[in-house]
Amino acid sequence: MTCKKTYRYICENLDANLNSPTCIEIKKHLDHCPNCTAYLETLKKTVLLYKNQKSPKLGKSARKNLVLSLNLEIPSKSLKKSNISSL
Amino acid sequence: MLIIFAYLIFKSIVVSKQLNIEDNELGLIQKAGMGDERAFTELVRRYEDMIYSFSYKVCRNKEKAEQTLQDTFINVYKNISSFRGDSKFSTWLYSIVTNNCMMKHRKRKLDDLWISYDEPPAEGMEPSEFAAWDPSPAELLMDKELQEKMDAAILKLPQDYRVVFVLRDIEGRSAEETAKILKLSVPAVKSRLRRARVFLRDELNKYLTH
Repeated sequence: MTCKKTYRYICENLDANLNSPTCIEIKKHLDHCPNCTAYLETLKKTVLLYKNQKSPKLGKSARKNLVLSLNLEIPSKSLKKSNISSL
Repeated sequence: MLIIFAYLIFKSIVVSKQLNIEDNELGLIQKAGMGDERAFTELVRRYEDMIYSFSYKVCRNKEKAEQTLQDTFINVYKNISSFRGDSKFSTWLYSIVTNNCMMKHRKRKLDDLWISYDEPPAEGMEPSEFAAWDPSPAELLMDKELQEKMDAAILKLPQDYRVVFVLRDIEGRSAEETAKILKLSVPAVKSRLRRARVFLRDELNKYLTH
């Protein structure tokens, strides 16, 4: 297994089945290639950083604008659960 | 034996609750399709946060995300009677949001010239290019400047690639579902995801190792 093949594989299959034949070969390569290991780790961290990055919540005014744009009479978050069961 | 029995009862309760939710949702969709405003309102209540959050992650702009949210539900309202349940409702919604995001995005000249990220790093690279990023992701996320770099990096990605990255790696959708949402083949999804990951990693690497 070459660095080139490893690079291509790990970039595409970060969450692949670790017992597949290709994965076993990749693991063998990673055991003795610090560059590919470091690369894999930084790639995983990149994904983790974006996954855990906080995004803003939908605010009250945006929700109000949504209800107005849809011409709904009942504000979306105020529909009580007890009302839902009767739908 | 008793534990297994208790587990089986517990599991059947969980499965039946799940089925109830799905039945209930299908009922809501059918009623909304027939013009029932309360059913439609309940669908809005269930999905507004998901749609806003996804739109924001793609657009990285509150106003655009809000506008996309409104446009998406207007499209849902107009087309809900045509939803046949062949796919999950959320898959159908994602495809509408994605279309709305794409329509708001003006294709940049730069997108056509987007450099290839199919090739591995050149041999003989400086060791720092492969240096590990020492702080943990939790520590890194406290770094305000890094947050800005992350936003800037993802905005540099052409929208076609950004949407794939958000769906697969942030929203956790499968390659098959992402392909269905974007009307792409699974290999095309994988290829775009690979290039997006490498590009973003390289952009952050510039900041974290220099």
